[in-house]
Amino acid sequence: MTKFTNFLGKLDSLDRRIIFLIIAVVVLIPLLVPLELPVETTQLTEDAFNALDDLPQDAKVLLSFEYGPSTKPEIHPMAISVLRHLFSKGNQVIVMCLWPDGLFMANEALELVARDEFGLTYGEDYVNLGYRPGNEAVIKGITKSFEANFSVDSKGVPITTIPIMHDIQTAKDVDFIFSLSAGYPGAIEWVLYAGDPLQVPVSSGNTSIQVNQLLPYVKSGQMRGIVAGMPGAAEYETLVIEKIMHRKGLLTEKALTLLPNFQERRNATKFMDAQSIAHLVIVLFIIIGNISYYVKRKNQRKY
Amino acid sequence: MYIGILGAWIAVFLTLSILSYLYEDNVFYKLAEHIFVGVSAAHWATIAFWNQVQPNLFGRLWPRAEVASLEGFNKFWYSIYHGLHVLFSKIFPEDTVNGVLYRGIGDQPQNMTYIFAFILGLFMLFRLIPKIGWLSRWSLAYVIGMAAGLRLYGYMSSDVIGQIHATMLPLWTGNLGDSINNIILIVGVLTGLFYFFFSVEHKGALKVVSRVGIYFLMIYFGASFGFAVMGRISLLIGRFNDLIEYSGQQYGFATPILLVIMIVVLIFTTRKNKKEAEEA
Amino acid sequence: MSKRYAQKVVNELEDLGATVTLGELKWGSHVQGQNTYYRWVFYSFFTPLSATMFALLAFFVASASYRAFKIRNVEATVLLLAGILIMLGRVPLGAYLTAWTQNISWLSWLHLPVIQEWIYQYPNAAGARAIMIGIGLGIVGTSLRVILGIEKSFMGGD
Repeated sequence: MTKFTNFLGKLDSLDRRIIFLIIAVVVLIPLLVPLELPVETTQLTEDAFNALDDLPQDAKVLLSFEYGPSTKPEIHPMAISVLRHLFSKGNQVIVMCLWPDGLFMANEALELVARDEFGLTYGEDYVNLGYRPGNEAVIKGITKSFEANFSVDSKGVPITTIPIMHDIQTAKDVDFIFSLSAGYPGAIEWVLYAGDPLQVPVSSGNTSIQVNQLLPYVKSGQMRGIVAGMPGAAEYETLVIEKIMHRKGLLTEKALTLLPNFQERRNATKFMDAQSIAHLVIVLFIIIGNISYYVKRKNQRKY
Repeated sequence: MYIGILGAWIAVFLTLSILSYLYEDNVFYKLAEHIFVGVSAAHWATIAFWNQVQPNLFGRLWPRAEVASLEGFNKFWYSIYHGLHVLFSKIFPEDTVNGVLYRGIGDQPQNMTYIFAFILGLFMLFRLIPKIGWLSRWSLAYVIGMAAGLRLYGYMSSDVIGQIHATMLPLWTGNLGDSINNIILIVGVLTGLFYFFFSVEHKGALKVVSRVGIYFLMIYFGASFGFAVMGRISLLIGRFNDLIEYSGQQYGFATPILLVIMIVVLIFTTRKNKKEAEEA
Repeated sequence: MSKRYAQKVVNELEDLGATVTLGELKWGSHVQGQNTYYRWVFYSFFTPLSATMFALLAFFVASASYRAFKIRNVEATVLLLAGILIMLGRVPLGAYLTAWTQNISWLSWLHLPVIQEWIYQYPNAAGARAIMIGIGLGIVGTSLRVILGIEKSFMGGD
């Protein structure tokens, strides 16, 4: 027993490189050997999903990309799922970016979903207005005039000539604002400068780190649900498959043929196994760290 | 195709270089770090210039116009454009269509008020010249004043009044569970706010209120910690997924080859440093 | 691609009978266009560097959890418990480990996602709201000071 307690006491000064190695191994193994744990959806993700799902077919959604490669694993699967959800219902999507990297993320997502999967027409079914620096000033600007802030889209085409923008003068003319946000500017600015003043419904898909800051907006109804980090992305992917599959009569023909693809390409869901094991290991680290700390203190008091 | 494979090898090399920092600070990490700083700065500058400055600033000062139809002030104004075209022809293009000469950028209407934005922008850059660096304070004052004005209303309306309004919940809703939840929310917000109220000393009953507030705040910080761990692990999973993808045959087994090379080099340099340290 | 290589491709296509027009990309469209060198540099250099820099923090978070997260008092215990319940309840493993509680009605509240959701939506939301109101009041106060000229530190003044 003494040997064991001495060993526990020594664990307190374990070389951190061993901890790094353990973390690397526990993240890597589930990626190579999936456990396929089922994903349970949470209320807030369902609220965000239902808020978009309840939109009528002719609704126009403003989708704002505020993330970059550093947070792509968390938010990009959400972006793809949201686009699939909206296009499968026949909604039109207006994309804009408040982060410069968001432009590349938006192009990537639109190329995959709008162009390759759904074969939609740029300018009629969706448009990418591009990136504008200015943070919340851009949001404030589009509450007055889209054309003043985005005179041309990301391809240099004047927005007055783009069919989807014909009856969109200000942010008030869109039916929903969905922000894919990793920081500043992001969902908070959309709520403060567009959602609340114009009373346009807002929801958001965020990194896990930002989620807790946004929770008060969700609880107060200023945001309609929230898709929280990679678990949220996995939940949204699951909802897109489950709920849409049960409403085949309401889907566009193209969406029906793509359903098996959606089932297969659920990136966030695949990653949840690794996330689960890593969390368990970190919890074990905390418990072992505390046990060894107390054993070490006890041994020191003895002597 | 080959450029794609080269890109994959570069991506794997840079990823493994950054991760090598976990072993110890080394030449691979230093190289990757410096590349990151350079590429990031260049990327932001490029995107900001070609997405905003060129089309939206210069494009509004000098929208595309037929040279022959220019008159009055615009004739002089576009002659300045021509001078800029001679210096920077790619940024200030001119073109001829069916024998007609056009100068300018884009098709939006001309808006000369953007000259003030241009001047303030230049003032901001003067910060780099010590003698006239004081001019940048004008630009800074504009930006900070604008931000203060925007935030004053936004945060007061949404964060303060909106949240206080949302905290006004019924103590009894008819359902015991909902009522308890509402009471927890109200008590948590009030005691949490009280913890930061230092105008009265926290003693006696007020000390109890403050302590309750601390516990609610600790729950918030604990949840934030949990979410932070979740976020970081998610990003790591994304990187590992890319490394696994690039270890395949179609990318020339980039990951395993580069990993082995790096491990060998790191072991060699560690032993060499150890030897030198012992000799010293 | 370079002009010479592009002309070579055009010549080959025209030999096959296609009608091809060669045009120069508008300057500035290099940040937009597909298959441009800019995009290649973005995905080969910037993306892995940026993503890995942030991913590196996962290891340090784990190491910090092991070394620094010690239960020294009641507050730290509350923080720790909240963190652990959120971490386990948010992932499928937490649901899987406590799935058996769903079959027993009086134990169904012990299902980790249920506990996690309650902590997240009520006590945690209360703390978050308190912090948000506090920060909001601070921002309003500071903004007023800037507008009224009382706050001059950003200009290098007192």
